[in-house]
Amino acid sequence: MGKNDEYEDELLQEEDEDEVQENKFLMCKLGNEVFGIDIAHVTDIIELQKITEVPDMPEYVRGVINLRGQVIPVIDLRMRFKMEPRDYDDRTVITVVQIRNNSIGFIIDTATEVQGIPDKDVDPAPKFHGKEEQKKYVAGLGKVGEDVTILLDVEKLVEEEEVEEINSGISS
Amino acid sequence: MKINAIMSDYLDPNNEELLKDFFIEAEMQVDALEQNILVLENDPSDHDAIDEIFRAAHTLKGAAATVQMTKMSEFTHLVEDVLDAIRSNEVHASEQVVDILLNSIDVIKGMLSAQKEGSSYDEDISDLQSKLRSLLESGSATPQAGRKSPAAQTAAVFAEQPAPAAQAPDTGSGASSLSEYDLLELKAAAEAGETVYQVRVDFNEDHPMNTIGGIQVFAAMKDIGTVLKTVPEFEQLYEDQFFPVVYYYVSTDSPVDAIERKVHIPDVVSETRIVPVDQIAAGAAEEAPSPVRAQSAAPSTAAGQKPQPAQAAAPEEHAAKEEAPAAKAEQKPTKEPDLRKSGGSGSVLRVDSMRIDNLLNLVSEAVITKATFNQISSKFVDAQGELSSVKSVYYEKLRELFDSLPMYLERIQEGTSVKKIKAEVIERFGDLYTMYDSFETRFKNTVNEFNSTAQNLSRNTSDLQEGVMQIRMVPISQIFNRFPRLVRDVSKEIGKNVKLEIEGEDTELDKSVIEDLLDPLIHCVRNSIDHGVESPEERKAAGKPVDGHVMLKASNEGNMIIIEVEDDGKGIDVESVHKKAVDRGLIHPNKKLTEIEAFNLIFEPGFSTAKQVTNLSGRGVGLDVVKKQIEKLNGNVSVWSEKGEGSRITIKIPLTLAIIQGLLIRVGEEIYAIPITSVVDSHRINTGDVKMIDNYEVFNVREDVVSLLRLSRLFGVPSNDQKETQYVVIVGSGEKKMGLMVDSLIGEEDVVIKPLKDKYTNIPGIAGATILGDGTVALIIDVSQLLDLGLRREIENRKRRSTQIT
Repeated sequence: MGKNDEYEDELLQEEDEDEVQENKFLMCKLGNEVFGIDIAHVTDIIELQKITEVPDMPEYVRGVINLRGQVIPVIDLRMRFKMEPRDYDDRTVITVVQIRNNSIGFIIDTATEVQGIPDKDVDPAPKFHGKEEQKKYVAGLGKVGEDVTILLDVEKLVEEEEVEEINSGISS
Repeated sequence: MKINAIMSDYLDPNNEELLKDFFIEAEMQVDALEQNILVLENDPSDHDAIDEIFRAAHTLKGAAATVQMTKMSEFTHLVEDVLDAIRSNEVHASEQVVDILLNSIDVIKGMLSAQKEGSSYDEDISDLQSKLRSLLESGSATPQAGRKSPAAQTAAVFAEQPAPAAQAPDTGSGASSLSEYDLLELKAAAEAGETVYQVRVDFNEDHPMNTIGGIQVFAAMKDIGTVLKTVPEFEQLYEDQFFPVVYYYVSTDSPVDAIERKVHIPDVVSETRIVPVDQIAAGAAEEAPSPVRAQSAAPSTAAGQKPQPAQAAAPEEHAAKEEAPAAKAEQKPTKEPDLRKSGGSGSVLRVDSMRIDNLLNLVSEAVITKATFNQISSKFVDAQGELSSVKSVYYEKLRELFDSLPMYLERIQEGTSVKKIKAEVIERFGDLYTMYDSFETRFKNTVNEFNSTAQNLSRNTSDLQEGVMQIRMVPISQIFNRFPRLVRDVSKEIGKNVKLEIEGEDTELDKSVIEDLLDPLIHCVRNSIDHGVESPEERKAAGKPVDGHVMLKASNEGNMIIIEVEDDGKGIDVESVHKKAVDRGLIHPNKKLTEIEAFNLIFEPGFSTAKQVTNLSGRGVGLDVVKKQIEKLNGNVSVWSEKGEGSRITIKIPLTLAIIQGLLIRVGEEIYAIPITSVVDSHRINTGDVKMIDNYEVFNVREDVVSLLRLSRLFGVPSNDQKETQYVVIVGSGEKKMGLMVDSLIGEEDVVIKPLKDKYTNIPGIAGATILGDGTVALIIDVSQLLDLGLRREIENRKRRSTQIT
């Protein structure tokens, strides 16, 4: 855990140093793409741990973990976005986000940094971009220097699930 | 002062927390009323019960008035009059009277719950009201006496408490003695667009709760504006004292008639006068006579009273209290004992502060333990540092030793004696032996320290666990108390005489369990009365006492609570159960039923042996519902019966839902917990023991044939199906049994249930999750769901497999 705590501290520190009023995003890497998750939702970044599988769940729901005595579900974001699966390594982390008192973990390749993106550098989600699955959950495109980052709408990502689940329930 | 406390809380209409308090308390009073009325029915001379009833009704009335439930307050007042008549032996507490009183309580309950939901109670109660009134009239030659007496008493109190009356002139002058500065200040405090009014309110002294009128009006005014000032001072209004006149300075944008409507509370307020403050300031001279008027009026109305200096109000009130202890006793002490009885219903939990203190101690201990662990952790880090430095020195030395070996060999060849070389080597490298000693000692100490701290922690956490559980524990009397009324109603309805006996009502169990236990228990008791106890004629014919007997009993057994519902009725007739079961197609006509099997059949869905369908039971909702409910609580139900002697339903449930005893099992890599209450037994089997019947995998346990369910297949966990030995855990209860095939048994453990409500985790067959010693999560199996789910799934899978093979 030691390494990870430091890691987290580092991230938090960066956040503290930055005093300009802007939205901060945790930069998450999935393959070659970088996604930003609004830091307001992120409660923990933890290293990968043993995940207990829950039967009968879609494949991307990897199971549940113990987060300080709370049992929370964990979702593989790669699988969720129908990206090429990849073995977990020591850079793989679980980003825990909290939405309306529900915590949920996302497995990502790695979290790189916390990046402040001023509102003026955020463009609305384009009509045609990214893979079908991702598109729905794009809150906007953030410009950092030359790079463009997809900002994820986590709330939608978690919420949308419900609708899909109900639909699949009806169709099956 | 509890009444006042509640009132003041109510002043803030947003304070739901405290309004909730009112409901809890009101419900408690209603319960007390009901219970004691039933006591009274059995023993009309029980004076304690009468007093208790009277107190409860009185408190209820007062509380209702404070939260402006006028309808309820009026109605309760009427009930109180009847109770008073009973107390003074003017009305006899006959069955009929008790019926009316119980109906009245139902009405009060209805009013309460309507208010709670924010709707209004609109049942017609005039019939009941007239019944209550006719009781008063017929019961006594002097019905008025009963009605008057409380008023007379209160009047007496106030006769001896002249202070407030004497204060009238003071308030009068106080009103206009507001300096111009005060008035300016008032106006300054008003928001833009609002006008400051002076509202003079005369209160009705005859109102039984006259001491709280000031607060009621205050509360009402808060709805429409801001009360800036009152004369007398606001704090004084809180005191249990009657003020005939109170001035309110209120800033509001509502028109005068709206204020008037708000303020005029029937029965409480006799007169109101509303004047904008500007006019007072302008017409100060006009107002001037008013104090004079008041002053002249006061002595005349209070002619019989000794005028006292107004400032003496507080001590005077104190004196009055002593002078009229009887009257006071009516109001105050009532609250105290009733409050103590509270176990806390609804979602508010009342906890003995001792239990909280105890927890606090344990938590502080845990904090200390945490600090100790931090220390130990740094000691381990130190030890690790020492280990690596010692190790490098050690290796250095070893290398040196190896390097110098050829040199020593050479010297031996040159003729140096081996002995000498040996001594030399020991001299130079001897400390290799002892190099690790200091590290070892340090490490050993740290490990010891770690062990003892870990032990402390484990003791501490189990104390904590128990402590927290204790907080959630409430006595079962909370639900048992509902039964006397229920038994009375039910037995009356069907014309049987039934006496209810309650035992062990102090037994405590988890709040969440208790809430879910009521319905099953009601069902069992109704069942006993309806199906068990015979009609009086039958009982006489059988040589039994005419009164049937139903016993409700709770007791502790280890981590379980046992609740028994026993009757001395006709028992379960195995023959008629058999016949019924055959009729319903539940069993084969030729099947011989043992007693146990017959008893268990009554828990099957759609089973009811009552010859007549009554509206109590036999509506198709049978004991199977009871069984389902109890199993949901991780408990089980069993029945014992002897024909002609009676029957007994025994419910066994764990003390708490938060922690259960679980059997940990392993399937592949995954660990699951099975609630121990659903585990019948477990077996180690060889592959050869598994037989196929009709496409089912089955296994013989003694005489029984149990169908098997492979958890690995059900949950899709990779595991070796073809292993030579496997374990079977037989789960279920009663007739429904099934063997779960698992890879290995780990053991029994207390598991803390973490609910899985998430859409990602909530699936049938899983009751929740728990966290194991190593911090990983294990799922808890919901056996009853699994039984339903399992067979279906297993069959599907088998079909799929066989189609794949072909």
